[in-house]
Amino acid sequence: MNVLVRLATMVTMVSMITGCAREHYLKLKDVNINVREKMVGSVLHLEINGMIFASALNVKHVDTKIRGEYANVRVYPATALAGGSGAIEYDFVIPTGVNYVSFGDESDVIWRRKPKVSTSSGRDAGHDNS
Amino acid sequence: MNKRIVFGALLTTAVFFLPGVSHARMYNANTGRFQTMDSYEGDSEDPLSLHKYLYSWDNPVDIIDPSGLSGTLTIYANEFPKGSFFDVDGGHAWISYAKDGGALVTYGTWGNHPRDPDPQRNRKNGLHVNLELGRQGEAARSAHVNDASEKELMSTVSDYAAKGDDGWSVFAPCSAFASEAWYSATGENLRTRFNVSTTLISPILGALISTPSQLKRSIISANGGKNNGTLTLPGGNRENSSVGFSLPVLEFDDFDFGGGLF
Repeated sequence: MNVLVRLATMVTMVSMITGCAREHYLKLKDVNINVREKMVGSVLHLEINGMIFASALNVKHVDTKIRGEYANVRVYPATALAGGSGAIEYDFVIPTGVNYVSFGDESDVIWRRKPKVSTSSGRDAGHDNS
Repeated sequence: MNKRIVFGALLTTAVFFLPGVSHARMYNANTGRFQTMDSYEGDSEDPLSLHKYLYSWDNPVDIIDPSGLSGTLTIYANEFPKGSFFDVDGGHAWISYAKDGGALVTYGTWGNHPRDPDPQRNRKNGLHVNLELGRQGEAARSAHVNDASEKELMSTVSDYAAKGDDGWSVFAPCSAFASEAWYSATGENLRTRFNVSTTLISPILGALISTPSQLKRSIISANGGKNNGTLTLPGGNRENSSVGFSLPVLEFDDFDFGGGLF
């Protein structure tokens, strides 16, 4: 019985520790952002500008994970006491194979590539923000 | 003399001296409509007065409402979910004010050097205007206030604006401003300090620091358990409440192990 109790305690503690180590990222509802695409030469960029909608949280860092045709942008917050700003200013190159960009949760798509349409002038049909 | 002007002036005078003609009622500036019925029962000799959703006989150009019901004040609070046991509380609390028939303006204090379209305020802490436009609070409470209360409100807002960057601090963050502004206009005290039981950091810290999370709980409590509610003030007057900002009362029913700061 003692062994079982000890085992359960250990499992609980490990679960708590690993759970605590998980880094918290912001969801779309936690921010006010504008999304704008721009061409720099022939390279397509996505600009994300805005702010965290929590008056005492700053941006700790931003990263992008790409999986197939999906890119997921995540903003990680830190307490404002550490300095910095709650402003979100992120600019990244959209790889050719990426057709969707989400923010926070992967279900929150903030940009999708507009399908290319063949035209007589041969121009790129461009892209469209969602 | 223009008959309309004479008529309007007479009506204004009449309204001013008739008790009970104008009463506090909630106005939604977004839709431009009153949300609640006028409590004045009306006069069977005056059909327009019987309408429960009209303002000043549906003639705001020539007639004013002299009872001084000048606008709708709303306080909001959002709670930022903690990702883990050790995360600090986040969130935001702010107020909005819309003069009757006017545009809604938001006021909130910020401590994270937010991005503001106004170059004078960009990356500055303290009071910002209209940064919260378009946002809904997870909890909100509204009151229709009169001219005197509006002056109290604007005086509080001006005081915070004059503080500059110091308008936000750890010990007086956004929730402290929002609750103070609300109190100045309505006289209703919405507690923003942590319950001693809700923080593990220290009871003293919990007693000192105001948080949007606690304000959200206070708003919902004042709303009778609902996220959105209204405070009805007689004639839009500030309540004569002697309740000030008090230290928190021990409450053990909402213990959440939250190590919160803001």
